[in-house]
Amino acid sequence: MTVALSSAVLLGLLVLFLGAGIWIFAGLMLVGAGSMYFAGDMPLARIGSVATKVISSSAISWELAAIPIFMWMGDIIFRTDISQRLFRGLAPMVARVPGGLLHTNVLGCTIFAAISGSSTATTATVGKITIPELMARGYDIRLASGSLAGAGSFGLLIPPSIAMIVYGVLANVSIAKLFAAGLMPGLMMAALYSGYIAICSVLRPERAPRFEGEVSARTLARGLLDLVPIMVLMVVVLGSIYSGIATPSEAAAVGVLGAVLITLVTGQFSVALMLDSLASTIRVSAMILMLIAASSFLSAALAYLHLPVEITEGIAGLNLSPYGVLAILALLYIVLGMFLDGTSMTVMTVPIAVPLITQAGFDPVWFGIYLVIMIEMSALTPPVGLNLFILQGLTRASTLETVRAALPFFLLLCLGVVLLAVFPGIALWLPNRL
Amino acid sequence: MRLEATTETFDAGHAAAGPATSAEPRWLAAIAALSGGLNRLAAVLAGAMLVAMTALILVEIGMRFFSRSTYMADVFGGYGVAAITFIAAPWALEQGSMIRVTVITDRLPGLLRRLVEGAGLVAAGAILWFLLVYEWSTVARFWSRGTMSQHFIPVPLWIPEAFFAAGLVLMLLQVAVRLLRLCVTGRTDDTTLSL
Repeated sequence: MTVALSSAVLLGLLVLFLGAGIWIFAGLMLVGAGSMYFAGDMPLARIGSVATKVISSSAISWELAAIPIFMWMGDIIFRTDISQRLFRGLAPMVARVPGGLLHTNVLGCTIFAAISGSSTATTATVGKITIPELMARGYDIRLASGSLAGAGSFGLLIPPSIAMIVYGVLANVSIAKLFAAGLMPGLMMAALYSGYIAICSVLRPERAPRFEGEVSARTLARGLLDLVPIMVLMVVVLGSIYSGIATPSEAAAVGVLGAVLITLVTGQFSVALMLDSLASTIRVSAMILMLIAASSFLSAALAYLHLPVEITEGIAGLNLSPYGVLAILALLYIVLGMFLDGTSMTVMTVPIAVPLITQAGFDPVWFGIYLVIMIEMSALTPPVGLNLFILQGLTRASTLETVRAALPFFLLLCLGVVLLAVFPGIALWLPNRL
Repeated sequence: MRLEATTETFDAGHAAAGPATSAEPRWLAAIAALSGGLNRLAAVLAGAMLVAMTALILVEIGMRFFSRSTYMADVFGGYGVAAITFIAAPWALEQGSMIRVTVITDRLPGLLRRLVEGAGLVAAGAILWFLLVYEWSTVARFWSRGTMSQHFIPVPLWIPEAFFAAGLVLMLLQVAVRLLRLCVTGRTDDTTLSL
């Protein structure tokens, strides 16, 4: 069968199964088995033995252990008074800056992202307190919810990051390097968001009421004290990975210990909290890990059909410039992102996209960061955008209003990708120094 | 994909098990309860394994300070994550945590929607059954030959494979419950998804 025909069979099966509302992991397995059978003319017995072998061996992975353990750490912290602490700590610092307390969204997400690997958790944790506080103080709801939608996605960009672990395992890229590469782009995006908020507030002061009073040194110091436990956890987890002392899975285990200690020291430890966090972690990790296992089988099926190589050669034959390849991928990701979540997008595209961008001369570590920003965009695009759903839950605004509020921050993410493409050093400087 | 990801559902996922309603015949409620009970049992086991895995890694790091090692943390970590994946998956499935795209099915009229949902369940059940047939023979082969892994502490290979097989069995049971419920009551119940 020709490449064009096998690709068409594969795409057709994919659209059919996913469109019919089949669980994505089952859909990916069906597409894998179906394309081996129809496009590869393989006997069922062979497909069955390949499928079970690949699925089971892909799940037996020391690197993947970092996913449930990091999620557990984040979930324990999520169930503490972290939201209030972040707000109390950050509000005095930003009260007098143009844009005022709106910056608690951006800074809060930046800090929480450094102890959480998930962007939905980041959005929900920070928004739980900032949205009601900002609304009560008369801040413009669109700026408040838009900045939260945008900044919430730092959960994936600023390490630790579940999306980076998934990408690292599938693309065989060092997770520690990816974690290092995400830091500067994360801070760059935070600066872009805060800059935009400040400019908006200067141009239209009614959107962000200025705080005219004095902030005493005592209030500031107290606020800083509130942030100490999170900062310590952040330094321990990221420091141990960056310094090479611990692998990501080990750093995650130390992070869980740190999170439990924080609940003990702050008097918030309870058996119920631990059990709830464990239950939630198990549920979400099973979903992510099943997707990875299913996609490993799909990748194996693609490889049997020689599709990644043939498609890469086909696109290389078009003589596109490297930036042309990136632009096509960006379009593909934006469309996929309207319907899929980040993990599904990653597992479905990595087998084809990584050979393609390596051929075009890009660093796979750099591409990991590019992909994460694309996933962040997908959380902001309707009809299926995870951060939009969380925001709607918090603000009770209509879908259209929520989408409009998030749009400027979506465009800032696009600007961020362009900057990253023009100056790849933003991502690669730090990992190359470790 | 349907989501109601307010902060309430965000941490209330485990409370939203597929409930048996009064409209459901007793035999179906009994099968659903069996499936739910087994799924929860498997999930508790998965939770215990996550705790054990985290503890083992911490012990390994602690021993490093004394220049010693368990020599097994990475191996058991790898097997542990596979076991957690497969035996927690049925519960995640039951709870509606497995992601799916419902943008299209949500817009279909009643009967057509039920047909599409039913066909989807049959297809999902078919692939799970297909995998179970071949996975079962793998487990049986490792068991009868007594194949061991090539590690410092050899692990009988049928054990990790059995977790995969058990997960497939439980997922099949849950798919059957959903399919029966769809046929009998016409209900396509998917609880909220929370991430």
